[in-house]
Amino acid sequence: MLISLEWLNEYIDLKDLSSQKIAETLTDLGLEVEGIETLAPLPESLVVGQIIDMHPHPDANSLNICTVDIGNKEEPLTIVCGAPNARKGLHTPVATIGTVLPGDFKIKPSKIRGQSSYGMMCSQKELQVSNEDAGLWEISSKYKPGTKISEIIDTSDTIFELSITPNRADCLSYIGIARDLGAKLLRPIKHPKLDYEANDTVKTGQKIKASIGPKAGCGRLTALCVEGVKAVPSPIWMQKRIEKSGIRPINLIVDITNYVLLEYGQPIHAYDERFVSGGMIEVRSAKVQDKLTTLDGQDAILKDGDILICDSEKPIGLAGIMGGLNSEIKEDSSAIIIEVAHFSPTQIRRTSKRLGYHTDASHRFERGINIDTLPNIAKRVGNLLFSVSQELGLPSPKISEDLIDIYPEPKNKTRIALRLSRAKQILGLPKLTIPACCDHLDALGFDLLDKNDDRMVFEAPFWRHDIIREIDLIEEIARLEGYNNIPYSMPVMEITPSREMPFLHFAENAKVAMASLGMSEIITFPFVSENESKKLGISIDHPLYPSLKLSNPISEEYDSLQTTLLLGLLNAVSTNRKQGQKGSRLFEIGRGYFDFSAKSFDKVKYEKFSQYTRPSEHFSAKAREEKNRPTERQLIAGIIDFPLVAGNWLRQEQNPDFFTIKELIYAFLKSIGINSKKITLERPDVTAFPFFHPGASATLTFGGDILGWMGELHPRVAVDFGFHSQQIPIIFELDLNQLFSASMEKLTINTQSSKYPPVNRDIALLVEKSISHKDFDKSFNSFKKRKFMKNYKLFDVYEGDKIAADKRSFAYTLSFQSMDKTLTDKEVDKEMQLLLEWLNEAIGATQR
Amino acid sequence: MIHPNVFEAIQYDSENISGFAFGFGIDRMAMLADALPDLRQLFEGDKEFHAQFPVYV
Repeated sequence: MLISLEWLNEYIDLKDLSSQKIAETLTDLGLEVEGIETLAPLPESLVVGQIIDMHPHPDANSLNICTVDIGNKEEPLTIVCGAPNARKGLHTPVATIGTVLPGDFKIKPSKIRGQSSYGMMCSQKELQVSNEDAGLWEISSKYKPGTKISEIIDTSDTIFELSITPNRADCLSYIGIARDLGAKLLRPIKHPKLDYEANDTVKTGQKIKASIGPKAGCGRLTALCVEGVKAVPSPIWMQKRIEKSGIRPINLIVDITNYVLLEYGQPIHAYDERFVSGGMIEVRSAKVQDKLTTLDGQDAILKDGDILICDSEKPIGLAGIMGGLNSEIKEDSSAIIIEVAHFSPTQIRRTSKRLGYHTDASHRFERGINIDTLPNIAKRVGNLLFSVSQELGLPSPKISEDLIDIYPEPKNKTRIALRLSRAKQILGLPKLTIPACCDHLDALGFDLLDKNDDRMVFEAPFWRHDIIREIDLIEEIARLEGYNNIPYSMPVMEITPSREMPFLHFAENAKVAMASLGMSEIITFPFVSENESKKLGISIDHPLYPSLKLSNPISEEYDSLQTTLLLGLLNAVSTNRKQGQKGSRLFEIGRGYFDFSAKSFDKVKYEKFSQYTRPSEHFSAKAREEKNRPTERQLIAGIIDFPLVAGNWLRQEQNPDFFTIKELIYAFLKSIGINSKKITLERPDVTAFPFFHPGASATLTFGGDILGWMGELHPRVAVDFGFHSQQIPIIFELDLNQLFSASMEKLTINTQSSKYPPVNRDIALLVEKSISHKDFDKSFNSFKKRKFMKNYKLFDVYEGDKIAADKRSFAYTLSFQSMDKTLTDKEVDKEMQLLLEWLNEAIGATQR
Repeated sequence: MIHPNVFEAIQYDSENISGFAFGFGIDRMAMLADALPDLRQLFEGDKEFHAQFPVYV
């Protein structure tokens, strides 16, 4: 709700308060001020001028050269002007040299087609006084030349943007806001005038018939007939006021209904009587065959229960939401019917939501209006129609004295008891008294019915639909006493140390470890789109294909919960690249969400994802027992972008590769206490890991547990995410829950080390191409006659012309050491011989 | 203050039990601590932005 301070001052005098103070008071009252806008007055150098002489421009048909009197102290100005209504004798605003008009437009002496011009005569639009731009602003001749325009119209104002909570429908109005401010600041509020000079020739009761149909959803219907009004533009002050509150000015009749809407928060509709057949206004429930085109030109598709306003033949309005096009106020409208009604909030909400209408009227009807005051609203419209017509010098409209008021079941006020002791206890205000409570509630419009030492009985005013029980009265007292005035003291309580959360500590350590390895932590949203998931090359049967959909997603595309953090990381790196940032090293700790009850997967093909099916550790026992619950896994994932090392005069730009990520992961595992000797790397299956480069990736297992995977992104996937095929990032994703379990395993420390020197031997071994280092690994470890061999290290792999085409050569450095002596060549030779025999037997290796 | 309706919904005696409810977003605190003009910066993953923060805060 936009509130103009200039207008608000009509109902409560706040002229002595700064806008800051008013904003604070409003916010303290629970009417939160979200923004304050200050509007400047018109410049002082903008004055009334009178055209005293005018002749055509010699070189332009549409221009005139005017001599303009701007008051007795100044010489008349010569101004070239093209406005169609420029004429001798006209009073109009003149922006003199040096004036800065709205839009930062500075007036300078100029030459227009060879003729000098010393100022500018202005339209209302050029001064942003209204949207009127047909010609110069014609100012009443009662203002002498030289009068400052800012004295005629004060455009300075402060606009408060209020965020009104749905329970305070009464504050969607100037009077509602003034009432709350008056109660808080102990100031009286001024109510608008309701009187007008009635005309005997127009009688609402004789001219029209009004009725409310059965179960129509209308609590009260009031109507007033007026004749002889003119739909001219309303006065500038009125246009400005409704515009500042966010409503577009249209014509006098519509503007007055909107003006009163803003004053009281009560929507009003005006019908052109010519188009209301049979002089009948009936509120009834819609039938499917009913047809109505609303004011905005849309055909409303109606349903049973929608509330319609109808004449004797047809619907003329969608009640509480928008009027019908067929009975709209037109330029030549003269006889009108003013309708003020109460409609069922739930029904209005249902209809407006279904049809997608959200109007100033529906907004207020949905939240509840003041049913008690409807006749006064109609009278206020009569008052303004009468007084504004007079102000504009129009013939007085003929306004009926009587009005139709149908109120089948008058509402009673809600009666609520309030205990002083309870208010003191809830608010912590020991000094609160009965008179203070009564004063506060009285100022807010509550009626005191009865009181004794502790108990008061109040009736809530009709406009406060939110006051239902005692606690609501206590809240009112708190608002007026001021939440800031409630004394505070620290509660005395026992502090018990929080429960140990080993996993949280572990996750924290993991973050620190990752960050210490040069990675930056990021946080992304856990929402993913199916389309982006498909870019990973996974199909709907894959365990990483999103399986949990949000029923109310923030964005239509990102409507699923993530199963992997990789999408967020890839998008982050891709965004960085677009901003010219290469070489990102990012990681994230987050959750993957899986629902395998809805979608099972092939346990053999996707065995590396079996850890995701483990039930989550729920706090609630009930949740733990429930089968087929979706699961959550804590994940840690990261990405290293190209280049790993920026190029300079000493070295070339370097790509990150599989070994970069392997080194990082091993260092990371070490920092979080996982024995990397127990880790096995396996080449991932292409169908299970289509997003990895098949030759530069690996899955990690610890004992039998799957920890995760790492490697180079598949070039096709990289390109789909917008990367260059030669600048591919590397990624990893590990299951933090699995890492936590692995970190629990105690490390065994070898305390014995030999005092004697090791003997190293290099050896090259020829094997079939199908044999890998992993097979050598196994064979070395299963070498039964091993006595002194301590370790082995692969230092070369060779394939090529020097050996048979189906063979491959692996070269190892073997080291031999004894705990109690220096080994002799003979001893080493002997063990080498046994090892060669064993390798030949196990994997067919021969010495090269 | 917690509305008595909430207590009644879980069969607590709202005459004898009252309580406070409060909450504060940790991202808001980060905003204050580091004078961030816009909360969304924390979720955009901008490399230059994140790389400025030390390992231990």
